[in-house]
Amino acid sequence: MEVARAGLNMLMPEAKTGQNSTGTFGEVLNRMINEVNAAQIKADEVVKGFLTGEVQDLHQVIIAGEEARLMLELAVQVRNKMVEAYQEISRIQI
Amino acid sequence: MRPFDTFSISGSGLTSQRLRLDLIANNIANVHTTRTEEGGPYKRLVPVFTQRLAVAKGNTEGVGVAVTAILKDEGSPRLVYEPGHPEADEQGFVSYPNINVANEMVDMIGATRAYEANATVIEAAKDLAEKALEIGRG
Repeated sequence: MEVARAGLNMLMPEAKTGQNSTGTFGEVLNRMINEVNAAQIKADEVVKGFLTGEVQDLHQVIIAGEEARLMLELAVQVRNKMVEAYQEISRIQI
Repeated sequence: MRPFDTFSISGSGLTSQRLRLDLIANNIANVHTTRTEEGGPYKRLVPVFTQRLAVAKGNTEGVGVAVTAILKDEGSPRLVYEPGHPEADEQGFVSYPNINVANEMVDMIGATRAYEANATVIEAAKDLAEKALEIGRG
């Protein structure tokens, strides 16, 4: 159950909010990229916080970094799939 | 965020164990402390671990652990006969904290191992996420 929810959350934010029919693919993608960006910014802030002494735990820095890295990797995978699909279509002979 | 819940849960474990290690460090550092702010010898500190629940979800889903209190060991101090010591009482006994360094060391090993266990869980969660991403490759 958790796994299914987690996957839906990440890949299709629309499915959760019930706006699947209104949101275009571009909007979905945009939202996802924003989330990835937010994760990167958060990781950045945690590192800054650690260096200035606000964050006292080393592992928080590493965990935030890992989260950001994994989200970026997911975004890259989605992009790869998209480019692949586009190329597949553009190869169609008319 | 859901996929990274494991990280924050184990992260809370890491934070708690690190705090526990800090307390053990304090206990060992103060093994000969005869004076404190409230008077008398230093008292051994013990953390209280409490389960943390997600409030929004009807208090059923655990989201890690938190140290909610730091208690003082109120056991009687260790009396050592040292008549020449400036802190000695009329009978010549000095009140030292009720700390057994060997016990603290065992506790320290426990804290270290628990920290390692939490770190291993994070490692496993990371491996899972990477494996999932590998599905899309190739």
